[in-house]
Amino acid sequence: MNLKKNAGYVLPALGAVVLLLLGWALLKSSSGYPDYILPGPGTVWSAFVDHRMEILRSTWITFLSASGGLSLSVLFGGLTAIVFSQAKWIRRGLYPLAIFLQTVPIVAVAPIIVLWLEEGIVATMFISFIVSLFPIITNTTAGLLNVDNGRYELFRLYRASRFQRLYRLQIPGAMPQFVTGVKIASGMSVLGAVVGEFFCATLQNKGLGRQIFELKDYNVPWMYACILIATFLGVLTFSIVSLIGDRVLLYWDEKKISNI
Amino acid sequence: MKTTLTALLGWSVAVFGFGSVLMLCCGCQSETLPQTDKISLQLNWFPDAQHGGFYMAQLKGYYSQEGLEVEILAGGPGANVEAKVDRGKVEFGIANAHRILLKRNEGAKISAVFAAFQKSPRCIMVHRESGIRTFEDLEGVTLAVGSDAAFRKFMEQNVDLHDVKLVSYSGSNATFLQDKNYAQQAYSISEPILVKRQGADPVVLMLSDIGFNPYTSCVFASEDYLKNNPETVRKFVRASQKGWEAYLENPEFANQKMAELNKEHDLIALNQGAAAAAPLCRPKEGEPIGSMNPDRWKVLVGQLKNLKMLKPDFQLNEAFTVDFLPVH
Amino acid sequence: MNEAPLQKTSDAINLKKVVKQFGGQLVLDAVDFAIAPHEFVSLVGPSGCGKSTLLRLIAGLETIDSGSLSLPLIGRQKNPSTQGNQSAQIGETAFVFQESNLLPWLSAFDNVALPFRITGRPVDRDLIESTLDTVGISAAEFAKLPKHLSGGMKMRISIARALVLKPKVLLMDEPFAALDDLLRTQLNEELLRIWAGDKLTIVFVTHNISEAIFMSQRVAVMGADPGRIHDVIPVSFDYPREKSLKSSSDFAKCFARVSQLLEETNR
Repeated sequence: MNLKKNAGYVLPALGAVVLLLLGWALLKSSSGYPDYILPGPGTVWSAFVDHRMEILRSTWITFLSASGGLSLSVLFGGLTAIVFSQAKWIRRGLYPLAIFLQTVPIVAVAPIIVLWLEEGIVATMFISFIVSLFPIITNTTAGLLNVDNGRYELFRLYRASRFQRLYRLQIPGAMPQFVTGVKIASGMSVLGAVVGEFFCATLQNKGLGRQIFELKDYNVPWMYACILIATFLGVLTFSIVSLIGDRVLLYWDEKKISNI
Repeated sequence: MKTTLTALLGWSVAVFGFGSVLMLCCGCQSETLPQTDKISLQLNWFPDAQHGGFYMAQLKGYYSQEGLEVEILAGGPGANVEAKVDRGKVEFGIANAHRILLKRNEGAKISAVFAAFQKSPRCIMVHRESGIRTFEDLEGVTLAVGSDAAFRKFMEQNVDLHDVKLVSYSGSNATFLQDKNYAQQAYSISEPILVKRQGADPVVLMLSDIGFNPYTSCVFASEDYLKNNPETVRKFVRASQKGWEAYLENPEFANQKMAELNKEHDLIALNQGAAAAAPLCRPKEGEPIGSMNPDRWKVLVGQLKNLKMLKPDFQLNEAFTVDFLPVH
Repeated sequence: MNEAPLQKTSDAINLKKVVKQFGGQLVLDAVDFAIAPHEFVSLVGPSGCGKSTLLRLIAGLETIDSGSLSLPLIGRQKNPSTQGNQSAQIGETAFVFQESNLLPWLSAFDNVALPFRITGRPVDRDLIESTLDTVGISAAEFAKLPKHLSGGMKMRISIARALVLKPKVLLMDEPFAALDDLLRTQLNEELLRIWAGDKLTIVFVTHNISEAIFMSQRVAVMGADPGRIHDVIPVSFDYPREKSLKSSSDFAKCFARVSQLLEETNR
C-alpha cells in the first residue's frame, strides 16, 4: 500500500481524463456546434452543479436497477451455467434460447415486460438482468467445461461422484472465467438499466435513462451531464466487480499474468 | 497471385470510376433543372391528420403553382426537427410552439411563420368506465406520458396528481386497451379515434381546457433562411394555407396519401381525425388559418418560465413572425 | 523370459495376456506380468510402448480389451466383461501423475486432504501432517498455495496425497520427468525411504534407465509396435541404496545391459 504504487495507478488514469477533457473542449470550439448538439465541458459542468440533487437521485435509482439486475444475472447465470455444463443435449437445446435472449432488441421486449411486471424499478431491473445475463452464462459454462485433464483423472481415481466433481473441481476451476463473465456483465447491467428506464420508468423514480430521454428536448447540457454520470456509473460498477473478482482470484492465479 | 492482384485492381478502378460517374451525374441533374425552388418540409411525426393541409397543398399542386418543389419528409419518435432546421439540413419544419421556444432557449435561431392549429389537440385519454370527466377527477389511474416534458410538468403544477402513477409512454395503445385504469397522453385527432375503432370508450381531457395551449403544427424555419429567402417563405406559407383550407373542406385526397405512408392510420381514421381537427384549426371568424397572436406566445413563455424550462431572462425576440402570413 | 518370483495367488498385481487397443491401434499385445507384494518394479521403454497405458490399466483409468488383470492383494478382479472398476476399496491403489495436478485454489494441506473429502471420510489432520512431513514438506509450507511452491515441492505434495489413504499399491507415471537431475536423484532416494517404511508395492514408469535401476528390484523392458514386455531384468543391489551406487561398475554393467536390451527390442 505504498504511495508510489498507488500514484502509478491513479496518475495515468487522471492524465487520460485530462486529455479527454481537453480534446472535448477543442472539438467544441473548432466544430462550431451549438450547445444543443455539443455543449462544452464547462457548460455541462454548470448543468451538473445546477441540477445535482436531481441527478444524484436519478443516479441512485439507476444504480439500484443495475445492481439488482447484475445480482440476478450472477445468480441465475451461474446456476444456468452449472445446468448447461451437465449435458451436451441441454446445451444444444437451450443455448439458442440464451442467444435469442441476447439478441432480441430491448425496444421490442420492453413493452411486454412492462405489461407483465408493471412500470418501475423492478421492470428496469429485469431488463438490466436480461441484457447482462448472456456473458455470464457463456463464460461460466466454458469455465465449467474446461477442466484440466489431469485433475479430471485424479477425481476419477477416487471415484468422485458427479456432484463431488462439480463442487470440488469444476466450480472452483471455473472461477476465473466466471469473474470475466461478471466483469463484462457489469457494464452491460448499467447499459440495460439506462435503456430499460426509457420504457419502464415511473416518473416518481425517474432514473438516468428516463431523465436523458426527456432532457434531449429542452436541456441538452443537463442531458450530457446525465450521460456522463451514467458512463461513470458503468465504470464504477466495473471497478467494484473487478476489485472483488481479482481479490477472489488471488487463490486461483496459477500462472502469474500480472504486471498490468 | 499476380493475376488476382491485377483483377482486384481492375475491379477497384472500375467500381470507383463507375461510382464517380454516377455521383457526377446525380450532381449534374440538379443543375440542369429549370428554375423551381427545391425545398424540404420535415414533419415532426408520422404523417397523420395534424399534417393534412401540407399533403393537400402538395397533392393539389399549390406548391408547384408557386414554383416550389416541396419534398415532405416524414418524422417519427426522436426526429429532431428543430435541430435539422437550425442547422440548415432542411428548409422548413413542423413543430409545436413550446418546442420552438425550448430550442431557442438552447441557442437555436428558429422562427415560426404559420400555425395550423389554433387549439392544441394535446389531451389525456381515459376510459369512460373510470368515471373521470375532468382533470380534477384524475386519480387512481396510471398515466403514461412520453418524452415531451412541458405539458406533463404543467399538469404536475396545476393538477393534483398525488394519486396518479406517472409512467413512460410506450407509444402503443395496447396497454390502454387492456386496462380500464390506464390513461395516456394523446392527440384528440388521433388516438381516441383509433381506440374507439377497437372497441374502447375513451374520454379526452384537453390540456387547453386547463390553460396549456401552445400553437400546434407550426411551420418554422431558421432566422437566416427567413432573412435570405423571404419570397420563398411567403409562397410556401400561402400555398400551405390554401392546402389547409382545402383539407378542412374535404380531406379525403390527402388522407389517401397519408394512409399509404402511415400504416397505423387507415383512411377512415384519418377522415375522422380531419373532422376532429377542423374546429381546432379554424380560428375566430374572419381570421385566416395559420394566424398567430403575440399574446398567446407571451403567455406560453410565462408558463414555461414558471416551469423552470426557460431561462429566467429568455426573450421572445424572433421566436415567431406574422410577416409572412398572407394579408387578407 | 518373464519372472514370477512368488506364487500367483499371492501376487500383488497379475496380468495375463492383456490386450489394449485405442481406436484400432494395438497398444498392448498379450502382456503377461506378475508383480509381487512389496516389490519395487520399473517399466522402461521408448515413447509409445504402452508403459503408461499399462499403468493406467492397473489403476483402473482404462479397461482392458481382453485377457485378465487382477490385483489379488486388494481383492480386485478385472476382466474384459466387467466394464469400469470393481468396488474395491478406493485408495488401495494410488496413482502419481507426471504433473503434480494439485488444485491451485487449495493449500498444500487441503490438497493432501482432498482424497478424504472426495471419499467422504473424516479428515485425519495428524495423518496428513505426518505424511507431508514424510515427503519433506515442512509445517511452514502447509498453508501455502501451489503457486507459491516449487516444482519439486508440488511433486512431493502430490506423492503425499497419493499416500494419505494408506494404499497398498503405488503407481507412478514418470513423476520426476519434469524435474532437474539433482532434484530427481534426491526424490529417488526419498521414495526409496518411503517404500521401505510403508511396505508399499510400487510400479514405477520411466524412460530414465538410471533412475529405474537405482530404485527397482526388477526392471521390465518394453518395446513398441506392438506394446509388449520383452524382458525383465533383476536388479540385485542391496537396500538401502545410496546414490554413490550409481558410480559403481556393477551399476554400469546393469545399465549397459538394460540399454542394450532397449536398443534390441526397439530397432
